[in-house]
Amino acid sequence: MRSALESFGRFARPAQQIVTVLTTGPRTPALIRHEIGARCGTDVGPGTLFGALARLERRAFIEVIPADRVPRAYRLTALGATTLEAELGALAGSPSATHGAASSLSPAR
Amino acid sequence: MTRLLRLYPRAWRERYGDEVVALLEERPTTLLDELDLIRGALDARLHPQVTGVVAAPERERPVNQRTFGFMAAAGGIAWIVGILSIFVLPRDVAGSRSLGLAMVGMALAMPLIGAALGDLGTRQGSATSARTGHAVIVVSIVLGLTLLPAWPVFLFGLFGFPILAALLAIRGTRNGVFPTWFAVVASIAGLGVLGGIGADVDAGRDQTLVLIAVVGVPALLLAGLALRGTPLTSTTPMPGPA
Repeated sequence: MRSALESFGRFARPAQQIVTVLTTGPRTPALIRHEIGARCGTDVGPGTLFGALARLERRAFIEVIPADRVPRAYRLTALGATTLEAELGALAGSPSATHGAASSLSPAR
Repeated sequence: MTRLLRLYPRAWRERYGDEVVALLEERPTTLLDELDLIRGALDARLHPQVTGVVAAPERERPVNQRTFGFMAAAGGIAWIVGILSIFVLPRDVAGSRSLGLAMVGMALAMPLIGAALGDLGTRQGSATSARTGHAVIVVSIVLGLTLLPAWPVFLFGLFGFPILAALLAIRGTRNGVFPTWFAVVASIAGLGVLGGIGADVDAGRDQTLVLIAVVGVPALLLAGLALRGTPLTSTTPMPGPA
């Protein structure tokens, strides 16, 4: 059975990266993009970034911190943290998947 | 670059447009960024993730939620009492049931229920949603007025209002204002009314009249939702496809 983030299709990996970045605290989209680039060595385009953010927000995995001015910061919800934990737990049981997870969450060599 | 945002659906732009602009201002954009935005726009149209919901707090409305709750309650009661009056009033010389008071009751109920659905169902939406809500109120009044002239004009209201009410309940649910069960109940009630009317109102069969009376039930449920004290906008939007 596909996990919650895998159901995002091509947005699954950026969504996973976003959720991982947000585990360290709230971030604006620009900071999220920067940190994904720094940690993974991949540049997430603006269309992909917001496509993934919209999916995560719609499923209440993340939420925007209300503010009158942009850029607004996003933070992980309890549901998002639980989902990420479950995803990592499931991946830990699969050697091939673990390699995929490591490559998406660890800095590029 | 920001011209590419026009490719996105309006609701998406209203929610994320300014944030995308802020992101793009952070550093010079590349051709790949532009291509990614175009691809994202295509995805936003094929797989909408934003259905008129905005993160901004509820706009100031001239009439508060409780008032519309009372209007829904009054509309539901007017509808049910109007239909029940058919059982109470004496039959005419030809033996047919009297529909006059029922029509007046439904004519009063339609604008009241329509106004409540139109406003409450679009509270957590964009400016476009607010305009839609106002249009719904006008349409409900017109549909109510169609019940006052003789046959066949009132058929517009009898058929049109249940459909309108069900669509508004579904829209409100998709906007994250109403719970899902409310859209289900309103849709079933709308189908019940259409079935009841289709089964020949003039024959005055009891089961037919009861079917028509059920529209009052979702109206009373709507009143309960609006009057319970919690802002309706706290409901989670209906999930959709990825």
